[in-house]
Amino acid sequence: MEAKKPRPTIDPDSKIYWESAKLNKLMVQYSKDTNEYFLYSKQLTNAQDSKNIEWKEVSGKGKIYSYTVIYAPAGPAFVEEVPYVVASITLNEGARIISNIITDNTENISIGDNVEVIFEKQDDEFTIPKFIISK
Amino acid sequence: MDREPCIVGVSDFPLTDRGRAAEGNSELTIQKYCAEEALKQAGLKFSDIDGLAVAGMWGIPGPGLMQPNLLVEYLGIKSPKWLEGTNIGGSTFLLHVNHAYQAIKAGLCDTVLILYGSLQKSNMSRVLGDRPALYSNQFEVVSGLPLPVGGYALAAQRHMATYGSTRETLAEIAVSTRAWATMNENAAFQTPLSIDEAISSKPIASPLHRSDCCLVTDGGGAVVITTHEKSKDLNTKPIFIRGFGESNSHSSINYMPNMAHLEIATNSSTKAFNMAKLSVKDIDLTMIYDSFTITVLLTLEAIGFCKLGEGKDFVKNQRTSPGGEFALNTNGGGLSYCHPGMYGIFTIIESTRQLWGICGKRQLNSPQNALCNGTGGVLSSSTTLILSKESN
Repeated sequence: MEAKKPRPTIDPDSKIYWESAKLNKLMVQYSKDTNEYFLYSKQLTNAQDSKNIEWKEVSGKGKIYSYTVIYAPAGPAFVEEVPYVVASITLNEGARIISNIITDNTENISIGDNVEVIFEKQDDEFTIPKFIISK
Repeated sequence: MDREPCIVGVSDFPLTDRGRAAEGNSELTIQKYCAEEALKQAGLKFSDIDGLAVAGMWGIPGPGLMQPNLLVEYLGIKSPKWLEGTNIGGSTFLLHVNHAYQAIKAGLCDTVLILYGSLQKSNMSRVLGDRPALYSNQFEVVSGLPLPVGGYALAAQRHMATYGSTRETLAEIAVSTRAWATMNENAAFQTPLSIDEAISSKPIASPLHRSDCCLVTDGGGAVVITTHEKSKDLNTKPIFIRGFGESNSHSSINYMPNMAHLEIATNSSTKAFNMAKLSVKDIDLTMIYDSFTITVLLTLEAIGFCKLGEGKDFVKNQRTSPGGEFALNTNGGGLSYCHPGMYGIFTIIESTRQLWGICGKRQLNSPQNALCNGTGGVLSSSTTLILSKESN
């Protein structure tokens, strides 16, 4: 039996991210107080007051902050993907998010590369925002 | 009465067969053994213990969620006055020492037992996947980031791109740590490792290869802390807790503020040095939690043993090997001695033994001050301790 890939436990701080992905939109949180974008964690921002936070659609363009090519997969569900790339991406708007870079050439990736979002539909219930290297 | 807190007993758990506990052990028997050995070394009894600190990753879900309750029951500690069960990852036990120091100094209790035990190798409970996609790490789990190694790999890649460190830099650390392990008869790996072997070991999550990753072993440890006054009647010479600090910044690696600088280690060590009124120049032995080789590189720089980005020169040409200029991880570390999942307690045990001068073949020449640093989670939490033969 093929192992099933993990799905997120959707919560109030991630619901709109995953729901908008189904509509092929990338949405993250935005602090009206500090004019900063983020996803889930306020750790990389100065945003504090939760009353002044809203969700905004962003461009889906950004740069690779760091990445790793995975050879020892995160469980049986990812064996077929090896080698695959997981990256931390700084969106042009400032939020840092983590996802996969889809590429045929895992050797040809560098920190600072420009990337853009694509939406990988798993089924009617779940779509994952992933990234490709911009041409 | 001189309430200055000091370490008076330590023990680790003997392992065989590349890091396995003998058959017939549980996480509880491992901790009981370590507690008895550490108390015997000091000349104390269980009835002297009035404070307990414990953390681990076993028995969850279940009684392992409340380990202080289970250990007090199992060991028969009557009416403890002080309990500590905080878990911030492998750095935890240094935090337990910090908190025990404050409790003893304040008179809340006199004698604290700190405990850890694990059977993760025998139980084969350590896996790269199967982490629940919860809270801030739901995004990386869905992306297939193997944890914790993938998190450390992201930091390593960022450090290399920022400062020009290389796979050879990381190999220097793996090789020197193994060289120390050849002199520890309780180490899981005691055969020397070469730079070429380290570099050509199997890739796990680039840029990290097998030789950059800590072992998966069983194991356990105990540390006993009491007042300077009480220590005068005991078997061992007191090892004083001169300084400490703790800090954290994130849970998921994606939210580490700067992946090329372990700022929390700068924070925790600065507090420790200020309290001890000592500086890096005064440290004779440095024990850094080597969950991965990159952890050591990041921590050396963050503490200030060298400037940010200069770690690659600092560890070059086996400077941290036996006989080298800088004594680092003399027990063979989590990379080659043992790594039961939460390694931090072993930095305290080795530092204490080195300061006592009982380390046999690997004994340093009369060290006075030792620095212990623990990292927990995915570079999430940092704790620093400065231990010394002399009190503040």
